[in-house]
Amino acid sequence: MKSILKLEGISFHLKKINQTILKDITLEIYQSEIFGLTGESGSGKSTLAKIISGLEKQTSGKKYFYEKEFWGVEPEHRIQILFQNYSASHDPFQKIDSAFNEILKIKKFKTEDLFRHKKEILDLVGLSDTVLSLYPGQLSGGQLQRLALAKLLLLKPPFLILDEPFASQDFVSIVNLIKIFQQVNQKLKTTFLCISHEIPFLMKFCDRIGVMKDGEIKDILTVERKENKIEIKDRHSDYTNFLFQSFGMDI
Amino acid sequence: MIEPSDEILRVVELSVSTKSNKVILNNINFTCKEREFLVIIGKNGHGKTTLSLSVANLLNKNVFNVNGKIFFKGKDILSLSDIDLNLIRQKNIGYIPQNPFSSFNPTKKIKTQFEEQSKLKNISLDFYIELMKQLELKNFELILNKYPFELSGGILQRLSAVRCLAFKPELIIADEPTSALDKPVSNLLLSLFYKFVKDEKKTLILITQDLSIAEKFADRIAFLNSGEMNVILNREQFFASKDSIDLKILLEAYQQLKI
Repeated sequence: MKSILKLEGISFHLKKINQTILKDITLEIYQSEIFGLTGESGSGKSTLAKIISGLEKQTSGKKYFYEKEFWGVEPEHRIQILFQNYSASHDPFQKIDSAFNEILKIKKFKTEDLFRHKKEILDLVGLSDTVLSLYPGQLSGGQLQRLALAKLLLLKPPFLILDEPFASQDFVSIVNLIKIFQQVNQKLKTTFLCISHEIPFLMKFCDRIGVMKDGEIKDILTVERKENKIEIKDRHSDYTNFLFQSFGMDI
Repeated sequence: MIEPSDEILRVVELSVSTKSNKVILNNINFTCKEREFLVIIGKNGHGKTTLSLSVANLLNKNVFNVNGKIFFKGKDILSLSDIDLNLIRQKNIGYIPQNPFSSFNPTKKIKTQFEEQSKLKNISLDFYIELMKQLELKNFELILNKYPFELSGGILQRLSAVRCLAFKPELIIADEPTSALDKPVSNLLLSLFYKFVKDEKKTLILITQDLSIAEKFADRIAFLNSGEMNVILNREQFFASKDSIDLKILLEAYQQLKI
């Protein structure tokens, strides 16, 4: 398996309040896998995502993308993030088509290919191409989230971080979202890092799940899926057990 | 009307619309008994929060038209005077709002706010601390001496539940009270609610999107869809219900996501 992202001894310390948020995190994520990250609130999940995407700088430690070390933001913008607050990633006064074009300027497409490419991506996230002529305010919350995902996928980033994508979504939308993530993963070979509290949802589509507590990764579990059966056979800590039990699961 | 003695709440033909005639709730009818844990399920934007606000008579009358009757222990709270209404709100009905940030006074420390309430209602501050301990807020001294904006959403949400549970109202209306909590803490809070309902003989109306909460704790479950409440059933019947297509789709999705 080819490594796409490697973290070596990442620590994050806030001087102001003298608190260590992340302690010596070492993690390797492989190409086109779906990696889930879970843990209680305040365990440092989001901070880790911010450090990977370059929104925060680590106090110490190294980050590698395709075995190449980088500092801060990945220089070719190949790591993208879908924020929890997805509605803030749309300009309310800009038509969706124009927003798409602005993004596509980065990759020089031929004019005749443009529409085909936009349609392909919209199909993938389950939106029709009629949304292109609308403003973001005319779409529902769930549609806006998928639109934000479509915007990220336009440039086909190899690595995508999802920050709490299931928060405040109903079950019908969640089933739909999981299907979309799986499709994107298969068709575009995108690697996902999905942060979520909801372990049952992660179990549905992740290949591995990391469990964080107090700024450390306690366990990394491999999820085995065989004909409607989802199992975890790795050895794990008591904390992980406790967390799974709170969802009524015994592992 | 003759009321059965254990009936706490009766909502009759409740309709809510905006002044621009957009219908939010349409002809809602239901009752709530003592020692009942009622869960109202619904998707985003289908009127859950509006329903909870109107049951506590908290909707702004300048923005909404409210029609129908809401009887709390036989009194129609929609037609009560402000003084009587305030008395009921102070003693009998507790409300836990969806947004924990906007429900505390930002200029006062948590301790001051709890003390004000405890004096008014004759409860000792220790009882608040006792409840906080039960909800895994072990560093309570630190928390009590902070202003609301210094605390996280998860802590504030628990504090807002503590504030409501402390004065033991007969009816609690909780609007998504676990949305900012992780699962272990969420289970703690819900068991506390459950104990409150069953041991103290109170009533709880809980509004949520999460069917797993309903499956674990609810006596009855109501399904709110586009402002209408056509399905209200016992827990077992609800999960086998085929009454509404939208509900069927939701239940199927829920079963798919279960491990």
